[in-house]
Amino acid sequence: MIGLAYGLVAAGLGLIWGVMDIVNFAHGEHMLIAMYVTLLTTAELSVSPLLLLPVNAVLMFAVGYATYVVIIKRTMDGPVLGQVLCTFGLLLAIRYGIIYLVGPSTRTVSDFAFDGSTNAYGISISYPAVLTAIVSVVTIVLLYLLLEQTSIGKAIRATAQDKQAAQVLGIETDRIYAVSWGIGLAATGVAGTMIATYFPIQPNSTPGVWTIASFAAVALGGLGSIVGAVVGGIVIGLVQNLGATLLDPSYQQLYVYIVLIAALLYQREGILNWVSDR
Amino acid sequence: MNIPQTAAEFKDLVDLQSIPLVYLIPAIFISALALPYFATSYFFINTAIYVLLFVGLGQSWNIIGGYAGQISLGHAVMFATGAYTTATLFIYYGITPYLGLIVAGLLAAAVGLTLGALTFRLRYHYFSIATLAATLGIYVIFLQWDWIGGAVGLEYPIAQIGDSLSLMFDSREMYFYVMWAFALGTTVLVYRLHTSKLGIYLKAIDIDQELAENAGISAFWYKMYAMGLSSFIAGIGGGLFAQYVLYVEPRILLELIRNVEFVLIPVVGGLGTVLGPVVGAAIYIFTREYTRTLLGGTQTGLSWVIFGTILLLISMYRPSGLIRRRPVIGGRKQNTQSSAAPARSEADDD
Repeated sequence: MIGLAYGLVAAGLGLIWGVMDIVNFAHGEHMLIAMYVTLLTTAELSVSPLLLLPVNAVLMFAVGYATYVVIIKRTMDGPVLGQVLCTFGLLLAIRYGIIYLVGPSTRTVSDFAFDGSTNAYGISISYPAVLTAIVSVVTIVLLYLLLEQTSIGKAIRATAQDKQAAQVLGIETDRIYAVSWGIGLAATGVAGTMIATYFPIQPNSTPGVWTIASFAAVALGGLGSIVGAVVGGIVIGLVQNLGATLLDPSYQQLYVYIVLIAALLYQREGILNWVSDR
Repeated sequence: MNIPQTAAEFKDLVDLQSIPLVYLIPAIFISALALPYFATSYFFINTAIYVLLFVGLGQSWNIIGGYAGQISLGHAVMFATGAYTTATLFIYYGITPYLGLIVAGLLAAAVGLTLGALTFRLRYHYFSIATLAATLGIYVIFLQWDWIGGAVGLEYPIAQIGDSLSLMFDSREMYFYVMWAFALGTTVLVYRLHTSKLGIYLKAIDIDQELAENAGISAFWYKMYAMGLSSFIAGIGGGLFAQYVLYVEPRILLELIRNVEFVLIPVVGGLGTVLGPVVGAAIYIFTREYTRTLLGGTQTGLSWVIFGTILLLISMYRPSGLIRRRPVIGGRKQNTQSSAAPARSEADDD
């Protein structure tokens, strides 16, 4: 179940990673923004989180677009260190900004119209989790169609394949990069909204879990492929849950880290080739 | 000081800067020795101790990140290894930290080399991600590991403070001198590295690994060499940290912030420069301690918002840090800068 949400978040990360070879270390923190928008508005205005889905998607698109134009763009031509530092700086600023503004306590959306759970085959399944999975699948399909069918999607893929050739063909790669950041973060915005409905959110630990899980999903599934990221996300979800059930639940996160390192090492040829092809 | 009129003259002046480093390092460190005499408050000496400790930690990361160009986000692992080794050896077996620190360094180096052997095949941010994942994994393991106290951690026996072999002192001044020695030792080591063939090889790997390999430098083994050195220092630094705060706990030793500090200090000061971490540690620790008191605790997170923003700005405008590795020589603007700020240009090394 949670694997599909991982898949959606990973698809967002993978899009940015694949198109411009920048790893967003602040991915989970961007998600945290959407989570807190959901938490606070539902608490204050008692609107349904479902209504917030488009709001958060648009908001995170704007955040992503602005992040690229204002910050990332300046580090694109510099060393890799600059790019790592830059998203790491974002990570700190967003995470601790939220802690400063809202406090470090763990929070959940208090009442959600779909709260409740059912028992199927001896496994307790909560409705918000089911709803999250459904929303994730719908968003993933939309994302896929966007990239495969629309002209902007084609432009994004062309830029990912060969930036210079894309420029020659009249594609404004800068704008494409900004749009990719926007779309990538909009996907996390949707995921964050849904996750906030049933997942306790702790600003110190939640974002890291999601960032690493999506790293692992992308590393498993391969770069620049939404399907790959989604499959990777599902595998990560399975690894976490199977590991927790069959082995020791307290090491749940450890399994993800091991999968991540293993996937990175196993994939290094592919990844390296991709980098040098650019 | 003569104001250089032409770019060539200015270049000569800057090239001379590499010689004063021999004098500059002793000058800084000897004058630092006077600090305890001026220390008026606990706050002041505490800050000074942390600055010196973090000079060492910054130098540790400087070797692998600044010289070899490998952006490790996993140095907290070696730091924690060192801290836990020193602490457990002393608390469980009564082995003096004087010995324990060396064991800590060696063990941390072993851990670092293992991590390096696993991850040095990865390049760029893939290396960063893998090392970050390693830290987080070790964090989970340490949290669950009962022998070393799990999430609660271990405390030093307070009763033994002041014992001759316990390396725990009543007075802050003694800690100051210990950290001073650590900072000096690591700075001298990096200075030696800076002027040695190893330093040049590492920089070559940083600048262009393929080219360096074509020139016959084994990138993997030189990175391993750098990692070993760097981890050894990080391990000793961890041990010293444990000796100072008198407890070890996974959250303190392995949280994300620790990884960031390692990176932040040399980056703020100047990557791949001998004095970068010295400058960086001073800036970082003073800012940290002052924001802590002025803004009311790190719990509020505001200081980290500031540091996050600083990182952002540095990455956008000065990715090589405040001290430049090789000052860009150009028109008149540079000339006026050199006459206006001799203190800063003195720090330009290389």
